[in-house]
Amino acid sequence: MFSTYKEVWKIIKQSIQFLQIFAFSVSAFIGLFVILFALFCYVDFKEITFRDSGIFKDEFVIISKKVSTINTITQKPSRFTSQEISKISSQEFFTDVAPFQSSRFHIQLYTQNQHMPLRTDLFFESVPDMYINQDPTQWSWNESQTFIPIIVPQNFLALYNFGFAPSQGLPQLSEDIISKITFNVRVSGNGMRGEFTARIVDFTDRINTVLVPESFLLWANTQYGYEDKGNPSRIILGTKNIADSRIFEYIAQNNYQINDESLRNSKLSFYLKLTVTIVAIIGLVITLLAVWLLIFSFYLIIEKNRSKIQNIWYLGYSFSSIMRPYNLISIVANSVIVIAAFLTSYGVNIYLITFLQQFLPVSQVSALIPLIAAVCLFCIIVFVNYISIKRVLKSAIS
Amino acid sequence: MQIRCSNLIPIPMSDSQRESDIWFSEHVFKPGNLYQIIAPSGTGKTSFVHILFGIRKDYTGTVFFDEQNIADIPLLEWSEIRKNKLSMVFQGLALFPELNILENIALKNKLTQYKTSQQIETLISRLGLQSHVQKPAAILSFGQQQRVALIRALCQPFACLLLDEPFSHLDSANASLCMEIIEEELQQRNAIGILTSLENKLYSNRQHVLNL
Repeated sequence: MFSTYKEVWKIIKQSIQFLQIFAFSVSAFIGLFVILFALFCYVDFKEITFRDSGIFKDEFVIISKKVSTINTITQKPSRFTSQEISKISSQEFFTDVAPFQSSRFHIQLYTQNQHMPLRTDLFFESVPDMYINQDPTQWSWNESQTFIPIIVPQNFLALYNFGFAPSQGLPQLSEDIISKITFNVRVSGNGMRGEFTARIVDFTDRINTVLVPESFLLWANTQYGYEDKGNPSRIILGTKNIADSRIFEYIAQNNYQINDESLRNSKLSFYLKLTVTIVAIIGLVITLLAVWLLIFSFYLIIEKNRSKIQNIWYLGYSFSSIMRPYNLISIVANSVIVIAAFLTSYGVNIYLITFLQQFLPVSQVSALIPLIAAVCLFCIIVFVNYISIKRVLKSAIS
Repeated sequence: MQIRCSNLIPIPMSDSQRESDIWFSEHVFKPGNLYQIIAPSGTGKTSFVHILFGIRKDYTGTVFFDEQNIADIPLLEWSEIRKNKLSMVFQGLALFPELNILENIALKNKLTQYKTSQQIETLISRLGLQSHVQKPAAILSFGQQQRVALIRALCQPFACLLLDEPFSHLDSANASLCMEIIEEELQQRNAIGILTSLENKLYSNRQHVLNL
């Protein structure tokens, strides 16, 4: 069969416009490079943006109601009613809804350390443990335990180090050192008292409160707590995609307030996704135009060759053997282009990461996703070409 | 294979209502016979062979290859028929001008592997083309090209050979030579031969004459 194919090839080859194929190759290369590079960047930056908040599950938002002057005058705190909570849970973009537990008893934190005498009133809050990526053996509490692990906001430490400590002549503390200090916690309420020890196990800039394990707070609230008024003032919402714009819309419509700090990364990732998507779309448009150019080139070649193709067809050559040279050109040109675009984008990405490594703790990412994308794009382009060649050839012979 | 035409007429000619040996009538072409269709221009000779060859579909009536209505043959199956059952010398010859004589013939013979290169050489020399084999078809005279097209058409098995004014540019000596070869080949295959011509000139003494 190969020899018959060679004869057909000889006739068809004469009218192929290699300049057109080259023009297609260059534009398709640019388009595919842009798409694949955008994908590489997306994978890289996803890695970078989500790295620094390792103690939490990635995707959640914390919302509260806005505190207005009326709340202050009427002394009616702004809290979520159970209807509101069930309405929020019914939104499909939230996978999980949980109220913040707040301490309803008196808490005093103090040290017995001479170098750092400290005594302060405090409050605790908690969120379900699933939002906290702490080692479960550290982040747990049961009734036999007098030790309570605590997570505090990063800016508490900053306030202490740069505001409080210098003004009081106290030493500044690093995260490492403060994590080693054992505090005493005195709780009272409901006519009872309790003594515990506590240590700061981690810092966060995503939840602006003093966190303790939920099991401790639930227990302590029943022991020492005043009557439960229900209706939390803050709730934490789990979501699959924090960048889902419906979340922001919903929250704005209902006049809730979002804990902005917690969304810094999410916002960054949202804008990154947006930018990368726009770049990828531009790449896609270039690729589509290039593919259109190739389809159009084949159309012209076939139209120009119409009588020769008819003659070959009338000699008894099968449709597939006439189509083969065109498909071969398409497959060879597209493989070269896709491989070149993939390797170039991979190379540029390696260069970029090496450059970024000077200031950011990034490592080379896996090329798997861009590779899969490249293979898919190749298959799609070859398939689209196949369909269009088949259609044009069929019209040429009938 | 036998070919039966029933009430056939190309649609562009359907208003003429002129009955002939083929148009608007029944005719059966039997294996081993040679038919010469003699008719002036514009009476549909080429249309007829193109209908049989599956190129023209704008006709009413039916054509049967044995029991098969050719209108039911799917487009892509025609290549197999043209490779094994039907061969054609086009009026316009359909040679490839950039290919030389041998390459033009090889284009068919490589597909069918029907004739040995020895047999092809014999045919070439019988038709007086041996000194031109390396010349591209484009620079040959039309009469020479007609002989090349004939040789090419013979390089395959067929049950029917269609020849559309194959001798229009040949002198009578060359025409009879071609006819001799055609009759030999038809006999070998027990095939139908259908030949069209303008003039009322018979190329063989064994053919059936049909008028359009």
